[in-house]
Amino acid sequence: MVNDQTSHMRLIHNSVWIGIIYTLPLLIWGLLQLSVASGSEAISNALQNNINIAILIQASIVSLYVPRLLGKAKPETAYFAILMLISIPWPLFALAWLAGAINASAICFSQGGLMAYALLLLTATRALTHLNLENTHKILALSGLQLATITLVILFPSEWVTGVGL
Amino acid sequence: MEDISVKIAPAWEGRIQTGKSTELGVRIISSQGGDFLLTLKGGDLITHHTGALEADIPLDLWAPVRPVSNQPLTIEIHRSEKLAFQQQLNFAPSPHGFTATASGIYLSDNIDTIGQNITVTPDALPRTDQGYGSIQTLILTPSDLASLENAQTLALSHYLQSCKELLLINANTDVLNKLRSIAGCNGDAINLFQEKPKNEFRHPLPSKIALQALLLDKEKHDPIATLYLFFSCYLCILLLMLRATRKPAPLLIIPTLGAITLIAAWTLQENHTRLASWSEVESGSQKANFSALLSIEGVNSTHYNLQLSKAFGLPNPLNNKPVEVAFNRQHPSTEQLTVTTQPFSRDQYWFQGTLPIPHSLSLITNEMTPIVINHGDKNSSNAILSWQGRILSVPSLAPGRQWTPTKPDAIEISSTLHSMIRARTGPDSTALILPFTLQQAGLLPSHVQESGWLMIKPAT
Repeated sequence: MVNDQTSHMRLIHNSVWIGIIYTLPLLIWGLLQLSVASGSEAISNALQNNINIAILIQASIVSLYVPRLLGKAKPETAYFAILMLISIPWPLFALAWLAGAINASAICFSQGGLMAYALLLLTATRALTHLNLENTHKILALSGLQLATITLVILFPSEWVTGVGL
Repeated sequence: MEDISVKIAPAWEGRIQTGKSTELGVRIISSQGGDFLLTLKGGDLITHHTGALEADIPLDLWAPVRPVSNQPLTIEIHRSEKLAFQQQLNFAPSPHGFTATASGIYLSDNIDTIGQNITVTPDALPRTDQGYGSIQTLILTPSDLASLENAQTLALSHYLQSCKELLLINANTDVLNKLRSIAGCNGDAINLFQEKPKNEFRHPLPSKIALQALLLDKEKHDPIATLYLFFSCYLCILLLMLRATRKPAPLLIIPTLGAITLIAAWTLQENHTRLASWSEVESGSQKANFSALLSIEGVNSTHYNLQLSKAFGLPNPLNNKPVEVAFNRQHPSTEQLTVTTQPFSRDQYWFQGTLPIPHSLSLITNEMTPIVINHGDKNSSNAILSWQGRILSVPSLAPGRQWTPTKPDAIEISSTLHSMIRARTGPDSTALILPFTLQQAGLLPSHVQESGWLMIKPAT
């Protein structure tokens, strides 16, 4: 029981750390751009670029993290972990909205879309895990799933951004 | 069906110097009475003039404009929100200013004037301060002066106060001295035609760049620094909760709470409106010339009108966006600047003009020693004296008291103010500088943060 609890919190903590690690460079880059840009239009464009990159990074992280680390976790743990992974940069999204770089519905749609994508990946991962395959084949299948999804994100970045509502 | 007739007459036969303002005379006659809106669009300026027409009675209006060479000036009149009249005027600005004469005075070809000559009748002389924008030298006779209307006299007094040149023909000493007493720069710019001086006497007022430094000298609102602080706190709290809590729910609340806190704190902020001004007056004169820089830093998306005194004149926007100013004939002493802000926007407008200064201090030099005298009936404020390259503190003086520097100990002032004083006075000049804001002169609303100074030069 204690081990379950510890494992549950460790997964969530890992999600938070990953969230902080990918959000920190975005924050630094975004704030530096605000410092050098002049005029509200330039700042709005800079923040919009920042948010576009943030969405792609979130999709990439979800593609890598969910199949690898959350496939065997309890549903409750997996949902919390996904939510923590996606929610860390939300104040940055709020700043972009305040600056007029993005509207609120686009933010909600993009984050909701990412959640749905994460849940889909989770379902696919669980399905792969429950298949009657050898361990090696399961690992290969999961790696293939990771590779396929991350490749889709890298090859079609604008489709990802527009697809999730931006 | 309304029958509307509009006649338009630009000042100086439409001749204008590049970047300067001029005046447009508009006569409107309509078969129907009621409100009207006259809009003039050209270059970086859009002006709106509102008023009321009476049926079949001509209404004369003189509007300041600042046209550019590659863009026609559009004149539109709206009645009951419908376009009743539209016309475009093209101007061909000249790089030089003009010499203007009235009464058909003949000028020989070898006179020393800058630019071209314009001859107009006295009744065509401008009625707005901006009408003289392109004129560098004005040549008049006393009979021309006597025939001016009130509005023309006011506009001419603003021209003289701005230290622009007036040459008088067939004038006696009384007329000369009377005009010099109301002019700026101790009246040095007013002379008899045959005694025109060759030297430049006018020291231009501080530029936008000099005023930028004064603006930054005051405590500045920095939204970017606040954001750095906010996000640093956000990450610190996240890390602390990561170590402190054993449940996931508190961790999940932090990003949501962070976003909500940022939105709430941001929407409660107001736009920052600040002004830096520098005014100069000769001791004994009651009118000063000023240069002012208005900075509006946007926090939220807003659209509002900022009411200013008409003494501000036409704003010069420092960004590429056209500026809109509204004039209402029912409130002739004010103008409204239309302000549109966005988050992180920063708009700046530069103004130059003259204003009455009811100051009580005067500065005279007696055998190279400056004497500061309080002529008022109240204690004066603390001031600064620039003398022999040193900056000295002048204490508050009781009414009727005077002060001379006995202990020449220099005081410390901000480097920006020090640089401004040096630039305006030179090493051998003497001047008195005291804090003075355009708000004190009633030209600006009280919610605008202002950093302003008045320089009093000794009477000569």
